[in-house]
Amino acid sequence: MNAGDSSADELSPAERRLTEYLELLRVSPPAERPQLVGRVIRGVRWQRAVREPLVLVGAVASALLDGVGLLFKPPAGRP
Amino acid sequence: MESDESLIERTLQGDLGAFEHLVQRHRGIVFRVAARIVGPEDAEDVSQDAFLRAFHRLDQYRGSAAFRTWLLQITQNTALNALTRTRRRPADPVADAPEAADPDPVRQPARELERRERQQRLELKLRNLRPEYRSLLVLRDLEGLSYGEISDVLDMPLGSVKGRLHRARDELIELLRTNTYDWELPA
Repeated sequence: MNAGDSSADELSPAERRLTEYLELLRVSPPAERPQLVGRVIRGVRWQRAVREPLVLVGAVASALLDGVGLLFKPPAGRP
Repeated sequence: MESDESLIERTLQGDLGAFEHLVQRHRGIVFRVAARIVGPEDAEDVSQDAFLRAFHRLDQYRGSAAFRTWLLQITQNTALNALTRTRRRPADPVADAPEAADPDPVRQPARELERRERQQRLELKLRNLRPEYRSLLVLRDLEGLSYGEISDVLDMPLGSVKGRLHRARDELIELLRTNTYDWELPA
């Protein structure tokens, strides 16, 4: 635990027992597979590759909708 | 060693190698926290998801807290979202207990076998805690984060962190006392 906080931890006997007991988990933490880094970087590359075209398609679609809206908008002054 | 801030700067300039360094540096704690919250079978997906989210939001990182704190905040939220999505049933100690690695008493000393089984039972009890308590216990009692850092990760006032941590410990103690004989055994 963080040394700076140790004085703030006033543990009851049961909490101290729990801390000892949790040592079982602290000494053998779950270990990730080495492939994790590769998976993340592949994901980043893939998402970066599709993101820009998707943003572009979205911008074009939005501009088209704006244009269509302008075409069908009644002229100013006419009810 | 290059600082996280410098690696972030380089990543934002398009250097993917710098982001790879960041992932290498923080993958351990991200995976451990994810595994303790969602279980080891889903932890890799949650870790990957957390890193991807961090990458896409990197320009929003303001540097007011350490990068690790910011990343753990994303990890914790991703893990809780994953739990909500899957709506997992509470862990069943009988059905979920993994097989002992090597049941051969000659090759696997009895004491080691017993230690591993106790560890598995404890992991299952931890996963039976409500998720917000589980996160607190993992961050404080397993990962050793300071109260201040936990307060930032969980976006919770310092006083609430301490109070809820106390309640989380009480709940786990109660679970252990009522459902296993391990509590009475020496540590």
